[in-house]
Amino acid sequence: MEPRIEILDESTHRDLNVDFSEARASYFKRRLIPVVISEFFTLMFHYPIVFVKDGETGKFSCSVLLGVSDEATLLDDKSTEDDEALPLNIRRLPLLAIDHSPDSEPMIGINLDSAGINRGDQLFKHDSPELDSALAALSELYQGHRETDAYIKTALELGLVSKLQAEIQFNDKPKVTLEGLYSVDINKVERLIDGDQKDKFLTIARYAYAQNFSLYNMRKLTHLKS
Amino acid sequence: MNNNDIKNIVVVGGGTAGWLTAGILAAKCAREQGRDINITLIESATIGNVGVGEGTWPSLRTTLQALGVSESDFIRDCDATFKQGARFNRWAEDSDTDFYYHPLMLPANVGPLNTITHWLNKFNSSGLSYSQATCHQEAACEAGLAPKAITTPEYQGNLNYAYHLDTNKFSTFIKEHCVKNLNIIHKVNDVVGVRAEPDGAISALTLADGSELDGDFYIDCSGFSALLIDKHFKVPFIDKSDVLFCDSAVAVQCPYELEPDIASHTLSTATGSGWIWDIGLQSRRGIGHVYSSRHTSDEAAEQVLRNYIGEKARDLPVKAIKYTPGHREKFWIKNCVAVGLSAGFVEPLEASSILLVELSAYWIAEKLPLKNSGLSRCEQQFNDIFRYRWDSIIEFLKLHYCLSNRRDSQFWRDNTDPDSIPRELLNKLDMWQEKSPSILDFLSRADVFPLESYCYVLYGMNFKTTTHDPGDKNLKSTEHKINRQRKNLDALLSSLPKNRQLIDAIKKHGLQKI
Repeated sequence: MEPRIEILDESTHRDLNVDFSEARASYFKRRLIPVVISEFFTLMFHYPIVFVKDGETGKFSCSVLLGVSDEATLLDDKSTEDDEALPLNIRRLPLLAIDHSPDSEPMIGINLDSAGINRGDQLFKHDSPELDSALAALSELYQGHRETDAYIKTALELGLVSKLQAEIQFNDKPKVTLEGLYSVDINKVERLIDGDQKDKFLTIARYAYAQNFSLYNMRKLTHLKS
Repeated sequence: MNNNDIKNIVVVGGGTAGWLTAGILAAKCAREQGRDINITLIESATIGNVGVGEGTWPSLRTTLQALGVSESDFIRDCDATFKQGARFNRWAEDSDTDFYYHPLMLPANVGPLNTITHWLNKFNSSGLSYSQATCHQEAACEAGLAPKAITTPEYQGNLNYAYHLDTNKFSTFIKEHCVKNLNIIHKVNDVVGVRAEPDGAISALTLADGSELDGDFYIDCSGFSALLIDKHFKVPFIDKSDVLFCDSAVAVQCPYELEPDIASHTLSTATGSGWIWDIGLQSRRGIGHVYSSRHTSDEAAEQVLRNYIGEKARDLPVKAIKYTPGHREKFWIKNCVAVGLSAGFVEPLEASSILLVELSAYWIAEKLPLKNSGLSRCEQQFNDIFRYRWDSIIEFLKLHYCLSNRRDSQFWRDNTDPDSIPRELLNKLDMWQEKSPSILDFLSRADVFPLESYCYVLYGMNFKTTTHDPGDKNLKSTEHKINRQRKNLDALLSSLPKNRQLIDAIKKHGLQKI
């Protein structure tokens, strides 16, 4: 069933209660959460940042890999209030952007089927730091989409994207091979300095290095309780 | 002939054969091997393309990749769809339930051939066919599924695949790519004659405007006109209509009324005097009746085609093609080689036309000597190999006919008459009746159809091989592997989209390179 999504409106949703913490927690068991490149420099210390393909379009996007099963993820020891460590796509919940047309700015919507709806505090009664945080996250996400797409496009054009060969071995369990994950090949990025694509190196390098650094977090996946 | 460097190559003909050959030479010789060669393709301003063959082999994927073509662009521009094999209807018996598959994937290793056929004949309670028992691809075809998903990179597949394509669109597509990206010089003019060396080798082509085009090596891709191999060198044509009776075709382009599923296999339905091909492209079906003019009239053959299509066929224009099945006595002579229809033509039952172009072009790209003095060795080698390949293709096509139990028309009675079957094929069939075919029967590196293809046709056509009892342990092991494979089938099928669904997604979003 399609979720009930409405354009957020102060009078329509005057009496609506939202528990932002519960809304955020509802995404804590997801294996992958899409991210934008402006988040790389905070998320790189917590999670592996990978490229994955969309199942309907085949297009690449950036995501953080949080787990390899539905049972345990890297968010399990995080607080729902720890904005520093949470991806924007969790911090925005239960809000979302509604795109009516590519030519106009998107509207701010709310998912009335989200966890946390009709619980917690009244949305518009007081100053709400949670609502401000969700709105700020949504805004940053929207701004970040275009530059993230440009980063991915450049990485693909320069042949920097490579398949991630990753196997996770839990204690006493067979190895799990992670399929469908891609990352940036940092050796190829380094070679850009010497070629004709030096300008592109400057554009892409800081994000590519952040993404490469984030892969150290892969080892945390093996410590997840399953 | 002087012992000059071979530097200037002239390709005569701007159809699929000409552009593919020129493209492969440019990609392999010039780009990959770094040879200093110039390739000029001369295309007639007045003669159109025959446009034969809408089916291909998986080799075309390798070729397109070698040419540097984007698979997404190719699919968008050539009306192309995915092909995973052929379904042969009514070939063994003239009944609605008779069919078998020749898929493009090799059979899974479920045991020795003797054990598989023994198990299929004696313990096969669910009535699995040979291809069902050994390969997933028949089930994917029957469900109309694509061989890959939108997340699969270009040219890779979850299942092996080739393409169905619009050959005229393909020629234009490859032409544009070759001129733009592979530095092939394109000239439009008619070749009206040849200026020859004293030994007959070509020194230049005379063109309709009075000018000349000279080269060191010439590739005749001029189609049935065979401007160089026939008109100049007068190399005899070997008529094979004593083995393959079909010599005519009527074809229609049948637009879809709605946007139905696209079959991901070629449908080949036997008739009383030949067979009907039915190929699903994006915007239409290409349907044709290949028939023997000795066994039916042109009018009757056209009516069979119209009956097959039904009411939709009433106003569709029919294109008629006449040909002599067979090939040149030799394909390479002096400084000229014939590729494509100028070399020969047989019915498109196993989509061998474009395949032979690819095989020829790769051979030339690999072996083309640096100097004229090396040409005679190439001539001998190329002619030996490609004569063998033509013979083996003709033998494999005849296999489809001669195993039939059909006797309902003179066409089938003649086709199953041992006098029409090549001696080598008869010997193999005798041998395989006594013992299962073996890889040792297919040791030539020039073989076009491998053991696995023979098995799909032989056992699809209910050919009986005497088997020995391999013992309970071996039979149980094979049965276990077959059952395990059948269990994995659901997971595979649920991961694949419909053929049309994937084509639509590719047209909209494209495939990723990796």
